Amino acid sequence: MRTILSISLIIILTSCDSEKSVLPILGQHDYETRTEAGKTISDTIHYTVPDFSFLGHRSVEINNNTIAGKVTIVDFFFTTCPTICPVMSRNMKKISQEFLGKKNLAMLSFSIDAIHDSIPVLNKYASKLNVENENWHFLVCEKKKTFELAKGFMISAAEDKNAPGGLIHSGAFILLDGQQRIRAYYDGTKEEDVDKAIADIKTLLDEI
Amino acid sequence: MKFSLPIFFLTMVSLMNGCGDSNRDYGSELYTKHCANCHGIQGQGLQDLYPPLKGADYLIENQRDLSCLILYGIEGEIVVNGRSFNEKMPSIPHLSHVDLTNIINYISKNIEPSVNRVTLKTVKNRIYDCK
Ligand code: HEC
Repeated sequence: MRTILSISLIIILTSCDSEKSVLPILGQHDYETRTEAGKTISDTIHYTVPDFSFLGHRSVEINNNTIAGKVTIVDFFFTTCPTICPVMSRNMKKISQEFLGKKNLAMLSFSIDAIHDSIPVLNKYASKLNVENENWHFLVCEKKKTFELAKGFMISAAEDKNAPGGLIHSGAFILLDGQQRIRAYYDGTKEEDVDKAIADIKTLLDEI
Repeated sequence: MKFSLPIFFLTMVSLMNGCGDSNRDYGSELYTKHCANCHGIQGQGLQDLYPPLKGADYLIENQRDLSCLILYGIEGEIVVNGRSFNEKMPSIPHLSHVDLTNIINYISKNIEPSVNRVTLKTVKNRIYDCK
């Protein structure tokens, strides 16, 4: 019989990891213990981001299968956001150019403004940004699902009448590994952080 | 008048802040906060979304209207250095005349030297005209 021990650990100690890696695995862990030949063995079950299925700016459905086995970098934004988003887009663009043609890296930019950011609007945004990387997708889905998903990435996104543009959201870039586990957060508005992200993506690409 | 300790402290604190502030570059702070997001720290613009300010013929030719443009925003198609832009620049209505003066002089000094320096008085007059 299996006993499942739930242990809340938000920041994970690398010492718990069975595999050697430079980047820790973030999120709450569960431990599953089993008995094998009289010995108690404990397996770590890592947090993975929730399932999603959103429409992309190229009018194709993008879901967990799209990013399965790939390193993925994610952000949440909206096209009319006057504050941090233009900087985030500038920085995502930098990452996208760095990994042009690298099929093992997926990039997802989720719009949190389902009302304004229709597929044609996202498509125009991508083309005005001169997005060349085919693996970068701008995605939209109904508001509720998007906010739910943001929670699943453990970042904030919500409506706020007092905020410029009517929405508040984190400026984080979130790095996932091939198993959709969260490996790092970056401040998507800071150039140093973006350079770190680029270096870490290279590390993770070597892992898969 | 009765001596009030809290008021004394507040005065001291504001005086101290005043001293510390004398070296602050308001133009740079304002530009970073209000313009750099879209137009870039060096005024380089962002692809076909946000036009450049550095070397921008539109800015240089329309510099008389710059105060009004910043205050009220701009939308509809415009052509900057032969490239067409058509996004909305939101208005920044809470900027004071002093803020606008500082922003424009920052642009003149650090981003696009063909933009002439302005005085608070010219900014006031131009705002008066654009209303
Ligand atoms: C939310 C993004 C955003 C912010 C913030 C912003 N702008 Fe703009 N700006 C734009 C867009 C978009 C256009 C093009 C508008 C159009 O297509 O009609 C523009 C156009 C301009 C132009 C005319 C075109 C050119 O490049 O010569 C000037 C000058 C300008 N902005 C200056 C500023 C200044 C100064 C600030 C800060 C006080 C500022 N902008 C803040 C988005 C922004």
